[in-house]
Amino acid sequence: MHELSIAQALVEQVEAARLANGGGRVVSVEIRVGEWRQVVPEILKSYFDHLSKGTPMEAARLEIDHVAASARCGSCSEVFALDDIFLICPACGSRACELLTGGELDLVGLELDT
Amino acid sequence: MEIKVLHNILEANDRAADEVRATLAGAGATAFNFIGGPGSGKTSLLERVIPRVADRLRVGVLEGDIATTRDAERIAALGVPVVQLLTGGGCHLEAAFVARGLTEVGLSGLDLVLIENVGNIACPAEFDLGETAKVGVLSVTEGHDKPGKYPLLFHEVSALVLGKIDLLPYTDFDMQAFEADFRGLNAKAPFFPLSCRTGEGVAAFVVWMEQVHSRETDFGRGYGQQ
Ligand SMILES: Nc1nc2c(ncn2[C@@H]2O[C@H](COP(=O)(O)OP(=O)(O)OP(=O)(O)O)[C@@H](O)[C@H]2O)c(=O)[nH]1
Ligand SMILES: [Mg+2]
Ligand SMILES: [Zn+2]
Repeated sequence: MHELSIAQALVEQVEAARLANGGGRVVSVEIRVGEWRQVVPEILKSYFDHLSKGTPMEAARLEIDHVAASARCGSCSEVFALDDIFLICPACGSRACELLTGGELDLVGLELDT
Repeated sequence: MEIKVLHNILEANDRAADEVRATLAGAGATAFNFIGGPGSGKTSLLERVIPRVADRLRVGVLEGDIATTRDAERIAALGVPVVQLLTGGGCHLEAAFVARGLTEVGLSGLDLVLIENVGNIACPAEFDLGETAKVGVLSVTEGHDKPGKYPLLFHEVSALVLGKIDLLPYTDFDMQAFEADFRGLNAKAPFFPLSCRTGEGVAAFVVWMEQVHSRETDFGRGYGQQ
C-alpha cells in the first residue's frame, strides 16, 4: 500500500524535473530501488500509470533498476553481498556491519520528448 | 532528450521529518515512533508506560490508525492529551501528518511524544517521521521468524520490544533463534522482553525511554536516516 505514497511523490518529482528542463512529454522515467526497500514493482507501476493519466507523463515507461544489497564490516572493512539478509561478516564473523547498498529509492533519470 | 537527475523519491517526506525533528528539539521534547503489526500490543504498551512516567514527565500521544478512534479513547482514559491521526486507508504515517498532530496535541508543554504508527510491520519502517527513536513492537504470538521476513524494520529500530511473554508457554516461540536473527540485523538496539498483561519487563523499557529523553544513551539510528 505504501507504493501509492511513493508513486505520488515520484509523480511530483518527475513533474518538477520536467518543468525545470523546458517541459514537453515524458517518454520514460528511470528509478533505482534497493533490494531492502519493500517495494512491489508491479504495484508501483500500476499506481504510477493511474496517477499520470491526463498529465504530460501519461503512458510514460517506468523503468525500475534493482540494486542488490551489500554491506561493509565495521571490524575488518570487508565488503560483501548480502545473499543472506543477515548482516554478519563472512570474513571475520562480526555483526557490526553497515548496509552499503540496497536502501536506494531514487529518481535517476527521465526522457523528454520536446 | 535524456535527463539525468538524482532525487530521493521520499525527499518531501524526509524534509518534513527534518522539520519535525527541529520542532521537537526546539520544544525539548523526545518522540518515540512505535511500529508493529496489528494487535502486537502497541496501545497496551502505551497504557502500561504512561502511568509509570506521568508523575515526572508530561506525555502526549499521537494515535495512527486507518479508522476508528478506539485507541485514542483508550489513551484519553489515562488523562493525557491525545490526537487520533486517521489515515483513511493509508498503511503508515508520514511526517507532514505528524507535524499537524504535534500542533494539535500542544507540543510546547510536553516532554515525551508517543506516536503509535498504523498497525503494520512493513510499510511504516519506510517513512521517517522525525522521531527521536523508532521502537519495534513484536509479540511472541507472531512467531520468532519475523526479523528475517521484515529486515528493514528490525534493522531500523533503536529498541525492540518483544511483548506478550506471558504467552510463551503456549507458543513454540524460539527465543534463541529470535535473538540470533535480530542481532544479525541490528547489533546495537536494546531488546526488551515484556508482558503488558503481568507488567513484567515494563520497568526496564521505561528506564531506557527516560535515558533516551535525557540523552544518557546512544540510540544509533538506522540507515534510512543517515
Ligand atoms: N496475553 C497478553 N495479551 C496482550 C498483551 N499485550 C496486549 N495484549 C492483547 O493483545 C490485543 C491487542 O493489543 P493492542 O494493544 O490493542 O494492540 P495494538 O498493537 O495497539 O493493535 P492495533 O492498534 O490494532 O495495531 C489485546 O487484546 C490486548 O489485550 C500481553 O502482554 N499479554
Ligand atoms: Mg493500537
Ligand atoms: Zn569483518
